[in-house]
Amino acid sequence: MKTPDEWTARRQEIRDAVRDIYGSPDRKSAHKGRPVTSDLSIDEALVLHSIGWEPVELVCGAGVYPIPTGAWQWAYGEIRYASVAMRSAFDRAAERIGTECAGADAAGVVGVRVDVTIERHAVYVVLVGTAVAPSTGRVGLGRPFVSDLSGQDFALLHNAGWEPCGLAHGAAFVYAPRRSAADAISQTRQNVELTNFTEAIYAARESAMARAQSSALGLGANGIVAVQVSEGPMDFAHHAIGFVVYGTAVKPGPAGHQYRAPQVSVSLDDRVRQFDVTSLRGTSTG
Amino acid sequence: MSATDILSEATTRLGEGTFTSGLTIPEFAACLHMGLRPVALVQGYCVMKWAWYASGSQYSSSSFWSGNRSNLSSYTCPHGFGYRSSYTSSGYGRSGYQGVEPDHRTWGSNVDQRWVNDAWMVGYNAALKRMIEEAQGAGAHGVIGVVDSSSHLIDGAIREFHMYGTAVVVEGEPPPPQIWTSYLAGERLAKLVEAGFFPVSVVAGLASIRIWSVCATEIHLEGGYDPYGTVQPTSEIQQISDAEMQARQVARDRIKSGLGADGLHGASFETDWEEVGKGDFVRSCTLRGTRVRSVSDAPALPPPVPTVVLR
Repeated sequence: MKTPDEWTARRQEIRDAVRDIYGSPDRKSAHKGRPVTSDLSIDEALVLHSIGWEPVELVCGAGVYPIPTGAWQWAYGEIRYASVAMRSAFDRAAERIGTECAGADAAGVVGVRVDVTIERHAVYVVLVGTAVAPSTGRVGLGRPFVSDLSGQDFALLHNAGWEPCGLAHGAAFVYAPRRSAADAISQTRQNVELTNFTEAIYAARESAMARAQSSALGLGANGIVAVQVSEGPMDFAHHAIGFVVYGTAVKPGPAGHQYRAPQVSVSLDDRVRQFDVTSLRGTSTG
Repeated sequence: MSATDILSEATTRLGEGTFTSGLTIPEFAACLHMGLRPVALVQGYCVMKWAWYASGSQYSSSSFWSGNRSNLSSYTCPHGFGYRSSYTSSGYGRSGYQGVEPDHRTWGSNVDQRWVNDAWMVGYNAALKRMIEEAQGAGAHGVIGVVDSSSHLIDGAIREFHMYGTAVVVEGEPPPPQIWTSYLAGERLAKLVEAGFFPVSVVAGLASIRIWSVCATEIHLEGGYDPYGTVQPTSEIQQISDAEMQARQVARDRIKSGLGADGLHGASFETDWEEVGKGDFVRSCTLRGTRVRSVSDAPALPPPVPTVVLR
C-alpha cells in the first residue's frame, strides 16, 4: 500500500506528465530515431524494462501454401501434400518475421501470435509479434529469434539463463483408413474401439512430434517449451486426422541454467479455478 | 436536432452537476487515486457510406485496366502470356493469343485501396472529434478508457463508428491546450505513467488490400493442376502471402507515419477476409492503439521474483 505522501507524489507525477506531453516535445521515445510500435501489454513492457529490454516494432510474417485437389481423398498413410504445405508455410512465415525483426534492428520477436488456418486447398500461417532488443542495442547478438512466449515468460526464461532460439513446429496429416466391409458389419452392434482412428492419430502424433524435435535441433536448441497442440479430424475431411504442434525452442545461455529460488507466499484470496483444461489446446491460459 | 444542437444539449446535460462514467469500480478507484476526477461519459458517432468504386478509386480509370496500376506488388503470368490492351476489330485479347483461354488471368495485382482507408479515417476521426467536443463542453482535460467500435449498419457499404469514453479532469491543473485520449484506464493507465509515458491520443488505421489474382494464384486456391505444367502444386501462393503481410504492414506504417517521435502502445490487429468474386479478394486489417509520449526516464522495476502461491 502506498502512504498518503506517496499518493501525493503520484498525483504530482501525473500533473507533471500532463504538462510534459504538451510542454516538451523534444523528448524521444523512439528507438534509434524511429517511432516504437508495440502490441505488448503495459505489464509486458514493464517486465521487459526490468530485465533491460525494450519493444522496437510490431512485425509480422506470413506463409501461404497450396494443397492440390485429391490430397484429402480417402486412402492410406500420410497426406504428404498437407504436411509439406504446413511445414513450408510455417518456415516461410518464421523466416519473414525474422527478416522484419532484423530490419528493425531488433534482437528477436516475443509474444508472437500464431494464426494457423487449414483449408481444403491452402494452409495459412500468419505470425504477428513485437520485435524487442536490449536497451543497450543488439550488438553481438546472433540471428533474431521468434518466440510465442509472453513478455513475462521471456523475462523469466532470460533470468534463468536460457535463450529462445525460434519457433519449433511439426505437423502431420494422416488418413484413418476405411474399415473393411466385414468389420463394419460385424461391429454394427458392438461397443468397440475404432482402431483405424486410434492408429491414425498415433501415427500423426509420432510424425508431428518427431518433426517438431528435429525442427528444434535445426534451430540449435535442446528443448521446446510451452508446446501448443491441436489435433483432430479436419472440418472438411473427417477421415483425415491432423496433428499440429509448435512451441518456443530454447537452449541454455553461455552461463548455463541459473537457479532462482522461488518465494513462497500464501494467498488470502478465495479459491480460484486451478487448472484450465483448455490450456493444452492453446485457447486459454487463464 | 442539428449537430450543433446536439452538442449544446449534451453540454447542458453534462453541466448539471452529477457525473457519469463508463469506468469499472477498480478503474474508478485507480483514477481517483491518480488525481483524475471523472466528469462525464462522452460519446461520438459517425455513420459513413463508401464504395470500392467510389471517387478516388483507381478502378474508375481505364489506365488501371490497361496495366498502368499503382499497386503494392504485381504478378505476371508464369506461362508467359502477356496482357492484351488494344482493341481490334476481332475484340479484346483475341489476336496474337492463340491457345490462351479468354478468361486466363494474365496479370495479378495487390492494390492498396487508399480511398477505403481515407473514408474509414473520416468516420473514425469524426467520431473521435465529436467525443472530444463533448469532453471539452464538460470542461474535461482528457478522455480515458475509450471504447471504439465500427460495425456494418444496414448493409455492407454503410458503417457506423461509435466511440465512447470517460472524460476526466486532472485535479489542480488548468485545461491543457488539447484534450488527450487513451484506450487505457485505471490500473493500466497508472502503470503507463509509472513506465514514464503519458497517452496523447487514441489512434487507428486501416489497410484494405485488393487481390486481383494472377492465373497461378487462382489455380492454387482452387486446388487445381496447371494444364501447362508450369505452376507447381507445392510452390508458395506468393500473392496471398504478400497480401497477408502487406495488410498488416500498410496499417502499421500508416499509423507510424503520424507518430512523430512518439510510440504506439498496446496495438491490436483486427483482420477481415472478403471474397468479392472469383479470384478477387479483399484482405483488410485495422490496427488500433494508444499513442504515448515519453515524459520521464522511469527507473526500471526490480527483476521479477518467481513466486509459489500456496492456496
